[in-house]
Amino acid sequence: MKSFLTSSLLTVTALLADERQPEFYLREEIPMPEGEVLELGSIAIMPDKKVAVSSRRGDIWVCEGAYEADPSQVKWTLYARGLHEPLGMFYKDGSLYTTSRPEITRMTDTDGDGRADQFETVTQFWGINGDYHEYNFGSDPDKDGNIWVVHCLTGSARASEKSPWRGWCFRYGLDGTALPTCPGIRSPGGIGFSENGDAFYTDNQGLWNGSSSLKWLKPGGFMGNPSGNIYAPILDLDAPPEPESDSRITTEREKDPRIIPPAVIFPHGKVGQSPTAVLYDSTGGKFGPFQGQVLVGEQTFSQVQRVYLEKVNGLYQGAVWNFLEDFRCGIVPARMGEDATLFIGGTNRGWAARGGKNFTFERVRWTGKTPFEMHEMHAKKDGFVITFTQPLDERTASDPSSYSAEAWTYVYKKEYGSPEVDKATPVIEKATLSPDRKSVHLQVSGRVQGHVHHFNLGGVKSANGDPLWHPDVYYTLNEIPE
Amino acid sequence: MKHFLALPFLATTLLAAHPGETIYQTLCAACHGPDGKGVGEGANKFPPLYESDWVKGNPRRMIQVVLGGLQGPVTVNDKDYNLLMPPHGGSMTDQQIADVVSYVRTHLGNKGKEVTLALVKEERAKADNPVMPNMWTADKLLKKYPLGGVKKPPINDLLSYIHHGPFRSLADLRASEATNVEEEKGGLISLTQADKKDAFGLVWEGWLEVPKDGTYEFAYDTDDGGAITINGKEVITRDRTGPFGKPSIKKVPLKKGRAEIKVEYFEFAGKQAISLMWNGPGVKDVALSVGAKKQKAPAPEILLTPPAGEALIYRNFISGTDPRAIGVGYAEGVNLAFSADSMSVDMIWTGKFIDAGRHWTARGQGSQPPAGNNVVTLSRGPAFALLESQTEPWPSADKNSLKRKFQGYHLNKAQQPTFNYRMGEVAISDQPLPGETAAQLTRTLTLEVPASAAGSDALYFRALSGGAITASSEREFTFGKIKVAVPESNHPPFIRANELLIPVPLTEGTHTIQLTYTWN
Repeated sequence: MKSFLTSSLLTVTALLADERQPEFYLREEIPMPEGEVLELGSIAIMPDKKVAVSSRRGDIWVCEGAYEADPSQVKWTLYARGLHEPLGMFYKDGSLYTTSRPEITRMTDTDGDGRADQFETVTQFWGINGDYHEYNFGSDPDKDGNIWVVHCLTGSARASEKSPWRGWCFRYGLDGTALPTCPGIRSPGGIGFSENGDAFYTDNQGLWNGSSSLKWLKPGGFMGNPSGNIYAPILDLDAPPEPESDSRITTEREKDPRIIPPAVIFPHGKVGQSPTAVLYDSTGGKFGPFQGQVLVGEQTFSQVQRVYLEKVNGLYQGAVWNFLEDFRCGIVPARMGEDATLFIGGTNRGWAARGGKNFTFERVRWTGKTPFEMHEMHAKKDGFVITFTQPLDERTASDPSSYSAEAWTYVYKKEYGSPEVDKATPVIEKATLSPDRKSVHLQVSGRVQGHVHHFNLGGVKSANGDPLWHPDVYYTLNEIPE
Repeated sequence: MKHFLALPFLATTLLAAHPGETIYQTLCAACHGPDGKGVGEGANKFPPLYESDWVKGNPRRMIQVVLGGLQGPVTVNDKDYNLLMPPHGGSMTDQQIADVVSYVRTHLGNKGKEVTLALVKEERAKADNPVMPNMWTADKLLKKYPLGGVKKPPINDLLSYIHHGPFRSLADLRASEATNVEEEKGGLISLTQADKKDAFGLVWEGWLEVPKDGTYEFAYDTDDGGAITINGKEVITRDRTGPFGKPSIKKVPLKKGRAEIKVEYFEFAGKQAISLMWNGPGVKDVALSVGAKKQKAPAPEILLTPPAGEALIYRNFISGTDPRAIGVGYAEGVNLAFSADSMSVDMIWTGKFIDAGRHWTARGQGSQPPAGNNVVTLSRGPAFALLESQTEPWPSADKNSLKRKFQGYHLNKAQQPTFNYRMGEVAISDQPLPGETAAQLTRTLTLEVPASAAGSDALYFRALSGGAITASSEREFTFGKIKVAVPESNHPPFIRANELLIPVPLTEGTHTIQLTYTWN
């Protein structure tokens, strides 16, 4: 019961408006065009400081002035109407590309009147059968020029024979080529890349997903939900794994190494409830000290989480922290623009969210003041090394009682979600401060491979005596380094 | 902002508070609201738990909703909702469910009792619980655990009087004497209470318990006729012989307490039917006759109208065509649906374009039919095929030897699309345009046959199918509500069974087919 009370207290804290956030990050709303309902599905950065947004209703609008000091003076221009729920958009060589429900489309304004007049279908390789859950999230082009698309299951629960490739990730070339990449997808909320170009997507708690998570789309890997396996024969592909239900993912992946465990689990209710957009901080330090880290949108709680990823024994794993919150609506798209401006799009239609608005377009900028935060978290042979954004107070940081830990995992099963199971209490044996006082080596006994390891650093102070802005971290320990 | 203000209070009282409260604020409040009053508005509103009739009474009902989830329409405190509650049986422990159900039943304006862990365990073990991906529907769950306590009869002290006679009017009925009188303890009126199929009448008398002062709506439908009298005043009069299907609806102000009701009904000959419902404060579409059902509440209308001088595109699920539908509404008052699955203009219609309400509220389930009139399905399935002979049956999409590839569309200044696609190696552009009169569409198909595709095979365009076609001249046809003319094509069209085919020479170069569709 103890751990439950601790985490509940934290969650309620997260419900409150974060009073400290404005010190570090300035969140501002950008007004939408009058009379329009722009429930945002994607955001694209265009030349000349323009920003394009797509709406779930299927419209594309272009915003000018989104970077200006006063965002209330923006000018909106209608670019296109009538697309079918576009959830993914980028700009390339004079065109906007969208991934929508039926297809990938290249849209071009050939006569220069500001409005697209040419809509070229790049591909409509996959099936749709009329079910509202058969949506698709599409990425930007990768280093080979391919768009990664995750196809949500039919009704988020099964794979209709009429609509092949639900529950799969494909890479599509701009010439229309289709490359089957990963089976095992359930209900994605967004897709993007890490700094080194690997693709990740968020998948939501549900069938075969004990909790929501960030998953690595390792080509050839299996993402966990076998519903879409039925389509493999269409392209003569090897039969994907058929995991056993009521197991653990660590057990199942031992039987079939094609099963890729979630890189970072977002414990349900503790780190949001519906993760969405995936992007990384590409600002070179202009958005605070988190260059290269992954940012993940959150729809239900209207937040942005921060993720540190590392690769151990060939698999990704890492840590997640609550980061930004108090957005006015549930976040679906997020995009790093120029000038280290993070753009956020919101919608709560059909899926409720905090914030009070039905749809929103917001931007966030770093104030230049660095919060006292955990920076990175590395798994080690005997524990973890946590680095910090500011030097630590020696006394509190080297005292093991400044830290508390708990660990658990989820049942890997065909039913919806999972409670936290196999609870363990790792013990912090020793906390050793680095000479520069910016990192601490925790020697931890009782860690469990495959478990989420939650650490609360409530007792750790900075050299200035400040507590951490976010004292909780959740590390998914898929592999323990040698 | 209001609920944020309330939260510091929560935080300070947290440790002393109910163990279910933190679970509620974490897992439930995003949809049901921190105060239990439900987040959102309109079709996007989540049901309240505050003073909820679903929370009241038998706690097994609420435990089942938490365990198994609930989807589809649900009525809570007389209001309709249609969003989805995900199942939590897999992610919450029995203790957590007991805690949160107990919290909700004793807080948020509810005055129920806490539930035990044992009760949750008992409910979880039930064999007829839905198995994912299925969830509960309100109908199924309410059959097991109905709302409210003891069921009162809808009409109290109900008496039925049978009349015999060839009644064609209320006057005929009222001039006759009852042959029989019965007490109807179920409190529902029904034609099974008559002893004849034709030439009879029924009169019922009883009283309604009006829960609150307010305006109540009565909906009465009959075959043949009848009347409703409330507190001595005739409020609905259906003094006619005629069919069922258009209920008379009347609003009546009533005071809390007892309201006398008299229902008159007569059947002359042929079919017979009756339906009576009432609705108002504290009364949610309650049937007063056996089997009466309320009309399903439609999604709010969001009628799309093309701007002056422009066409408007709507890509979504449109009934009567394939999932990859492209609806086009023209300012001139004609509309079409193109299927980017089969490369075919499947449907055309006049008047209103389309109601986006279904797709643009809540989660947007289902397909929406055209909003306008005179809907004509021109043809479904592939529009082009190679045939060995003129008698070879038209192939289905997956049997068609011509591989189809949708290439998109381009818009002219008036936003009117020209669709581009390939059938095999033949590149086709298909430009529909509004005609010169209000009820006309023209269509120009331009086919580019490359040298590599040229040959002796015969390519056909199927212009119409699925209905009777009559020729009024070599190039003019009647097809249901429209006349179809083919002013231009290399070869004249021909009719076979319910199909109109146009042969296209598979010779290198450009070939054109022009059609006009004119509504009668």
